[in-house]
Amino acid sequence: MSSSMVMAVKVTLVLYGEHALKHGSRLEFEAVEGETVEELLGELHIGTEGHHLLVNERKVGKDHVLKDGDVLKILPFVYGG
Amino acid sequence: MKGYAGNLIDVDLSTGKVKTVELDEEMIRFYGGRGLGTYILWRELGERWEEVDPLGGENLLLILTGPLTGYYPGIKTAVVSKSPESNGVVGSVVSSEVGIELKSAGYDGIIIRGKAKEPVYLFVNDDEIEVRDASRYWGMGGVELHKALLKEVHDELKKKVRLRGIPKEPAMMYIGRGGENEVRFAAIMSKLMHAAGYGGFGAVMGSKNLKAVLVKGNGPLPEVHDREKFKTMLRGFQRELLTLTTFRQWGTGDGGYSVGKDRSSQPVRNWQEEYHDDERISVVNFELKAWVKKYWADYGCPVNCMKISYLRYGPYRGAITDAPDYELMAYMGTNLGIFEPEKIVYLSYLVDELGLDGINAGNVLGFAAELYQRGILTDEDIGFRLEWGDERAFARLLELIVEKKDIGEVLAEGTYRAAKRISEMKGVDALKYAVHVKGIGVGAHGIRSDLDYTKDISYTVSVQGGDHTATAGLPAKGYEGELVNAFYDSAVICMFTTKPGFERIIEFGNALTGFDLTPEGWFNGTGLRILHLQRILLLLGGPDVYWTPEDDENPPRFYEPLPSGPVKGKAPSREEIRAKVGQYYEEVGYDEHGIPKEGVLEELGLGEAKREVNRIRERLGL
Repeated sequence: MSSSMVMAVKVTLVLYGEHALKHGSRLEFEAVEGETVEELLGELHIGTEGHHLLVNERKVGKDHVLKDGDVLKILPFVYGG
Repeated sequence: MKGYAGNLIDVDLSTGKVKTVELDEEMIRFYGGRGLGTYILWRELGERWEEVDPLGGENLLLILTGPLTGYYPGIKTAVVSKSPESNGVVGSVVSSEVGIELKSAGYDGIIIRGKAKEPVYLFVNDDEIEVRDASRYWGMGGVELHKALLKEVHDELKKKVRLRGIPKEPAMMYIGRGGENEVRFAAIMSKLMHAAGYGGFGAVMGSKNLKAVLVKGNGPLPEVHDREKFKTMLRGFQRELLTLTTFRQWGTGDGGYSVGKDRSSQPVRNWQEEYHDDERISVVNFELKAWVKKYWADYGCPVNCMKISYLRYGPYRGAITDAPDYELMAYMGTNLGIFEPEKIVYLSYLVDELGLDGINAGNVLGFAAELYQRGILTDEDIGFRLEWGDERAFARLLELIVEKKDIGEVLAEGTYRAAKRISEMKGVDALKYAVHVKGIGVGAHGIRSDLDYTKDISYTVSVQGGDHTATAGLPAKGYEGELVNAFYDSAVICMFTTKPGFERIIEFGNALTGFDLTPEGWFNGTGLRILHLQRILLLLGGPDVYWTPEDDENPPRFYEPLPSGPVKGKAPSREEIRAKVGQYYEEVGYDEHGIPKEGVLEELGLGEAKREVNRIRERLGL
């Protein structure tokens, strides 16, 4: 496989609340190599504000580049209460 | 020892003796707040835990700060004790300036032991610590107590420091009639409407004849390790927290409508449903009908999540409460079939004044109303009709509970114990309508829809049972696990201010204390140590209630398919839950019965706790 080919990156997305109602609470997603968290969420029309963006249970920035097998969780800042 | 004051106040109410004890290295291994409290309770009472009556003189009531208290935005104080609800340790965190005042007075917390002969209150003014007569204040609710006790002590302080201007009023934590009469779900209250609810510590305070704790500290906060880093991080956090706009605008009140509508996870009529589409409970109606102050925050908090509701007209004129927050919108509202803002404000005000945990009060009221709906409890049992939506009937029932009269005497024991007694009285299985986990009424976030942050094993394996602020999850060492919640409760900060994220808040703690704690260090060391100790004490239980591994289970109601809403029919499978519970045990280091493994205890430096583990095994016949 040549290195110039675009590789598919499989990411598991975990959603909450109305996003989960719309898309399901856990879904497999195919991103393209080099795609960032913000770009992937943009495809689903989900903003990056108001959430902890967690990749494999660690907080990341919206520019974080996704890797194959990553679990991306979009956890709202405020829950409970 | 930076970030900590280094001393604890130790008061014995039986003798009236007061002393101070130093915070030792062992204690700091548990960080602060919930963790520190768990350790102190184990060290003092672990050997005979099962015999310690939570409402007896032997139990300790701990009011504790954490290393972040006073420095991190917002203000919280932890209350830790043997819970009369779960019979294990519960760490309950309340918005109260008692924490920061304690630290300014030179203390990290107060250990309260024994039982006073007559009603007393405790007054800490720097190094003057006094146990004073409180018989005049017994029976008072929050509103009256602020006008009497707090004002009197404030006046006294004003005279003392005449030449230094007018001092700020002291901080106060107190109990209402619910705590005085030892209702098992009584709360410790602060500033009219804040409560240390989960745990039932109002009853513990009442059992000690302690009406209130007032604290005034006049010194600076303890020195911090890295002043520059602390200041830089704090400025960044404050800026970030100012951007929580939804929260700033609506508090948690947004949930009253949206949690039911969008997440199908809101208790409706004792959890018979978790979906509703009733716009009357929308937060804008609260704003229109009840809010008199839209932005209110405790000391140092940029979030402003509290909204003050005050009814100026109508039958419930004079009722005052905050917002109410989402939990009480649900538990004083939808769970009782009530959707009108005024009625919810009124009932929230009532539980505040009576000094009850609004979540567990709403849980037990909903439970009673369902039994009435099913004809298990009758007009004769209750003394009046108890229909869904009838706020006056629920108010009457609250009064009976606080007075422990008639059916109130049974319900004052909390949902779980009341269900056991009613099952015996009526020859039915009332436990299937009791929505609790380990004696603690489940918070207003259901698990069935799988749309909320609460899921499958959130409550089943939590060391604080139904507490929605201490939920567990898989992976166990992840953001939603109970270890992260245990960190917030031990650092003693508000979960609504955790936007900067767990990792950075740990780093902030390091700047204060000079520790080199990492998230991994918390997950595999400090946090796990706290969790294992809490788990051990929960499984020890006693003297009236004991839990077995079979109690790591959801309430029966959570397996009934959701009857309405967009995810109608959804329910978790018991097999899947069992498998996840097993996986959770493994990830945190419990054996197949959910008992902490001895090897793990050794690694955590808790070898001595094997003594307790052996007693658990003996009782379970393992």
